[in-house]
Amino acid sequence: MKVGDLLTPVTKRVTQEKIEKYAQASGDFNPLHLDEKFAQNTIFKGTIAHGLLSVAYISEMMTNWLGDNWLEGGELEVTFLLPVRPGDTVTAGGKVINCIKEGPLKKVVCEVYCMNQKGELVIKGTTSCLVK
Amino acid sequence: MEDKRKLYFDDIRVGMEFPPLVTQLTPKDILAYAEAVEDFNPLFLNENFAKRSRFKGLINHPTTAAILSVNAHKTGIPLPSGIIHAKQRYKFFSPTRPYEELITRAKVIDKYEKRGRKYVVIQSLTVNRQNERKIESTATLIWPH
Repeated sequence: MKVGDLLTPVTKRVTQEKIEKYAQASGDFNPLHLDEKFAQNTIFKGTIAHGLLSVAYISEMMTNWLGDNWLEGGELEVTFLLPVRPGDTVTAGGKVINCIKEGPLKKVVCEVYCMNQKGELVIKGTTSCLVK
Repeated sequence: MEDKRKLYFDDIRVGMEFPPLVTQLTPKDILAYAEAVEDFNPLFLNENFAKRSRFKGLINHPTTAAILSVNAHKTGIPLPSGIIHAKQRYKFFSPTRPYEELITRAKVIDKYEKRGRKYVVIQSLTVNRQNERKIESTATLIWPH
């Protein structure tokens, strides 16, 4: 685990059906995600995925990598830059930007992102976690 | 036509608290969430596997925090339609578990206008019945009206 290490990415295809499943599972029925007519009249001109759906992909990537450490002390901070639309393929990725010894533990800070199939950044942010 | 009894930007005050959300996540909720995010890690879904882990039983995906924070924003006056998520911060202190009673308290910690947009920052803390900290969430939301 060192600065510059790349995280193993997680890639998923987002569909309107998956957005509807996420709405049911999370209880977030904002019409921006579900009602095409409503969404057409917003700046997005169509339905978009919940931002937190893509955040789940980042957290899955971090759990795959850091396991229990992430589940019991992970921290993330992200900004939503562009909408994810039905039909988009989202890849969560990242790299280690800092690795500091804190007593017997290591604090690992990563730059993380989600990118769509066009290579556009849809989310950027950082994660930090104390690792045993 | 918009319902007049909705929580509009001008009605929001910094420090305003939402009534606490007291809830539990059931295995059915977790399975629905796993299917939605396509994350079938056995720690969240397979009891036998999870029993052999250091958690000694099933735990929930950390980002099921979304279920708690989204619903903790809805315990008071209904929110207007079309809120846009601008930023999110999570701190996962310890995993939540199926059927664990969880109390989530949300409050407005900031509101501001920038480039013609209205922003509201809502922070929520989830604890269990023993008052152990589980998740802290800070959501920056763009308010439609």
